[in-house]
Amino acid sequence: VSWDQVLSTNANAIMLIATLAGLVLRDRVRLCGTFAFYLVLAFTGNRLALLWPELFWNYDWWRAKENAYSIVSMLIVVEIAILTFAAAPRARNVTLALVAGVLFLTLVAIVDGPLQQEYWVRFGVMEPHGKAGSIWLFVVLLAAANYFRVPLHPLHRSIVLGFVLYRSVWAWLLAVLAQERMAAYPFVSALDGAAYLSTTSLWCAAGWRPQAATALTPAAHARLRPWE
Amino acid sequence: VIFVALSGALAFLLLLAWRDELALERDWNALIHATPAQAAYEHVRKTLLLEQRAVDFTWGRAAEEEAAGRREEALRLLAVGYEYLSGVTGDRLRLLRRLRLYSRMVSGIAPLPRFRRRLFVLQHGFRALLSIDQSDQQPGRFRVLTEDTCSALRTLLEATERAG
Repeated sequence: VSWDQVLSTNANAIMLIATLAGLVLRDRVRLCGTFAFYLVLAFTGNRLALLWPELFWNYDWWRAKENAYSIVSMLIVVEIAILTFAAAPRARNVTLALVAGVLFLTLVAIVDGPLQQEYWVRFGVMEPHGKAGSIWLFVVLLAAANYFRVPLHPLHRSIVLGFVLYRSVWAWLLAVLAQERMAAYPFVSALDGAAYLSTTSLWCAAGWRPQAATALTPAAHARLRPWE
Repeated sequence: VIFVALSGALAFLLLLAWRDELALERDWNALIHATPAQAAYEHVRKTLLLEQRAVDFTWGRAAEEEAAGRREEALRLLAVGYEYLSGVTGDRLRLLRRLRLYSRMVSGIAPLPRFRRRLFVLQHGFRALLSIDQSDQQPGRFRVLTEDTCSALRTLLEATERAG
């Protein structure tokens, strides 16, 4: 583990825990419980990898961790869809059906991936499939919110923006790794750390930010966001 | 795969940039605090019918002037009537656009079968109205389109009321 990896891993751990603290202290955990769970999971994964690198700084662990994050991020999409469309049950059903469709296509793409290929190709091709699929889950969620003209909660907006930006950078970095093999690893690792730090900083700001201005009347608010 | 991922991110950013959360919130305020369907319908219908009467009156007067042999006055009235018709047709198209947006919100709550198709046909009808050659047909067609607009508005308001 190089010094710059230690530095960025620690910085990310601080931002993850600061985001979680913001959500707890501002009473925002209930706005997206799965996101709070993701923060706990990401923080735990981060600490394990740095505190016991001989056990947890390896491909198998990394793969298991990434799979867990992907599953939780899909649950985040489902939770945000359910909350966003609380007042519009037909829109919610349409969105969840579309999310299920994208999930199915992603699974097909992953299963159809180069399982028997060499390590770097597997690493660089299969992982981006999953990342591309999860990006499209967020696109579907946003497109449905646009079509049915439903406003997004500011915290949800920041969560989805952070995931999409980070995952698109990550998918690109994995493809670079598949192309350039080990030679690109230091560059990819440094950029990944920086991209994730930007994402966690965005989430941290969203977690601590004071209540955003809203045009909703109390009655409209109660109808649209009964969970807030 | 990279193309799929990055195009997804681009699509996401474009969708996000187009959003105006405060405007959406104001639209939901309007939906939730909507006037009871019958009252809202009667209010809009009254305005649309007044405009309809103004169109009928101008064309009727032009026909009378023509019959009395005052062709110049008839042409002047037709020109004024056409200008007025263009204005109210623009208003109708704006109203239909608003109904289209509103219908998307309502369709998330309650079913609105074939409603947007109906709006599309009406929009097409209003756009075609100003390009027809026989100006004597314009008031009649405008009347039919106005009645259909009122009927579409009623359907939407009733669906909104059903959606609670």
